Amino acid sequence: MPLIHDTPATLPGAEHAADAAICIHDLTVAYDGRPVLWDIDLDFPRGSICGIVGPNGAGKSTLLKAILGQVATTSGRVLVHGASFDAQRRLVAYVPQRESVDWEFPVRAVDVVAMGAYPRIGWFRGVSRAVIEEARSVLDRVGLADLAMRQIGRLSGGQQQRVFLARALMQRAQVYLLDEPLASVDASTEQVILGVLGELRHEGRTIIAVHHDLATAAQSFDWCVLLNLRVIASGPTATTLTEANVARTYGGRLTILSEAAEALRQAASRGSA
Amino acid sequence: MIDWTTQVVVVTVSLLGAAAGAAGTFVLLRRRALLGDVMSHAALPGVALAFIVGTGIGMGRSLPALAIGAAATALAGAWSVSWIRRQTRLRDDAAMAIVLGCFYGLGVALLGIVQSMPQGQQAGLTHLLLGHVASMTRVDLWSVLLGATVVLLFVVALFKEWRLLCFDEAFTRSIGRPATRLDALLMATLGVVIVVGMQAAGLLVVVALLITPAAAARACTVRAGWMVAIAAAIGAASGAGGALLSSSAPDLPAGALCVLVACAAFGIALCVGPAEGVLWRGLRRWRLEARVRREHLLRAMWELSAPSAGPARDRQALLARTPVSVASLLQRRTWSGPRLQALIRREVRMGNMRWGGAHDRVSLTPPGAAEARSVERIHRLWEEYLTRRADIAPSHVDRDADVIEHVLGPELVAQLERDLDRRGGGALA
Repeated sequence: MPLIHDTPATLPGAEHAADAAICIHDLTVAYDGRPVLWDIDLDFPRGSICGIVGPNGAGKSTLLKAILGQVATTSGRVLVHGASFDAQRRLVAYVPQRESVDWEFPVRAVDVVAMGAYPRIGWFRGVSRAVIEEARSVLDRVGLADLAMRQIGRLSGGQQQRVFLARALMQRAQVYLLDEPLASVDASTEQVILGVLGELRHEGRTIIAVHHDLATAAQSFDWCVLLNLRVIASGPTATTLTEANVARTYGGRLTILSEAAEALRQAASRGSA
Repeated sequence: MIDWTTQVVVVTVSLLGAAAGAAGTFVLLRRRALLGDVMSHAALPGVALAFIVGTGIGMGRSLPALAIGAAATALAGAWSVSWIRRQTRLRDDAAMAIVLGCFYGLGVALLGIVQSMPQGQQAGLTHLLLGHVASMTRVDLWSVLLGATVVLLFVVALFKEWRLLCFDEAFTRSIGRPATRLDALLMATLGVVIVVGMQAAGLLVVVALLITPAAAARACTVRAGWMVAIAAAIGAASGAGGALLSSSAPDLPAGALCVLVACAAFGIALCVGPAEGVLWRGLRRWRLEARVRREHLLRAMWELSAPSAGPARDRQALLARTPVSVASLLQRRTWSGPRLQALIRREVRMGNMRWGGAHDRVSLTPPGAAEARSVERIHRLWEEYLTRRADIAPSHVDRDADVIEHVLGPELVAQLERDLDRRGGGALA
């Protein structure tokens, strides 16, 4: 499977697009005329744990929102399991950043988790006891069984992150999009989250997570996307998360300068030889 | 016995209060508490305009026309707020202040024109501002009955979706629920409450009954469903209470009394509300402070009365016999003499400490020593944990000493203890 489509010649065919969990082609997003994502061509393979890594402001969260159709795109298209997101919405679960909601909101942990079942419940119907029971068992899976009835504001930050993950599990999706799931969580939460993500992959589901911590990326993901406005590199972690690629992602300008210096040095040594 | 007019008024205003409380809960949860103010002030020019146009074409004071006018400008006000927010760098509060001022000014100007018209004196449009609860008519009763029924039906039917929207809009969109339309429906429901409420009871009452009962309900519960029910109940009780009070004291306007009852309910809920009541919060903080002070005392005793060497079990036995002077305890921490005396007296009563000599020395009893050791151990474990994982934001650690195993898990605690032993030379083990 091609990792990056550098040229239109490698345009994915329809059968290929159906192969990838998510296939992004020619995506550009701009806020106020300033591009935030530029010419993104990406395939996320099914059944993998993919990390989107890049510096602050690289457009990582925007990429997730573009997949979810929550930002206006200037150009490009996104396919989920070979069809548009709107058609495949039920296949996708989204875990926003923890800071995106007000945790003083008057709901219990189990109510938040049950929200993941709303597409199944439909309009004008209450949350049944069966759904609440299912939500409790999902909370058990993330190690929060005894906190199910607690108001969400009285949970620790890591526990709140686990509640969000449990809500996504409740959606029974095929593709999980997570925005910074491991940002400042405690050690046991990190273990639980990585454990659950591993289980999901084992079941053949796809996980795509925005990740801030370069140091832990290698052991957490088997597929990596290095992003900084454009896709710097994408592919299996072992071959993608290289020092050179990381340097190009995090210190673009510096690298260009040092490449120029290297070229000058080589030219000079050739000249003297 | 309550006369018929009063009965009508009581029923109408309490229905209005219930609808306002229920709808207001979502407005509050959506953090748009001021939007009710904006919309009700923005309804004024619509009413005045509808009257002027209605009189011009010979319809006179037509209730449906006034209602349509009010609803139109109220929604225009709400829409203006969101337009200003989207198109400029101004925030919500500024946008609301601007829109409220503009529409209210326009409304007052148009009311002035109405007053100068020959039919204007009898129109009773000034009642829209301060209300005319006591002189409510049967038409008002029916319009409120209809409006409140519609509002309560919407609240029941859309509770699940509105709660979702208020809690997490991005997630609402991601599962394909039409967030924008749900929001518009919520605003429309708010508009219904405002239009029928303003005609029946006046602007002041509507604004107060929208947010105050909802805020009171928040102090009583941590569940949105209960919050809606409690807010509706408080709204109804405020309406009924105000109307009844004013029937026994006719000099006092009923509208103002409704508002005052709602405010009183809010005050009571704020103090003793089971979920967020100030009283319970204060009590919790006081208990925490008491526990921290007590742990400080036990740890100070442990540190001062122990010899530095020897196996811990022997130390504990020894501790029971090593007295510590109160003066040295006093220097150990920033506590006042009387406070320290009180703390010691309490531990003596509990059998954890005992006086020695002329009450100038104290020592730990064996159970006290055991407890002091456990307090010190937990404190050291937390310290160890926090120094090792300094990257963790403090809010992520529920620093409740009693449940360290719950929070960190038994394996991590065992690991921390091993580390402590290795470095601390068995001081605690």
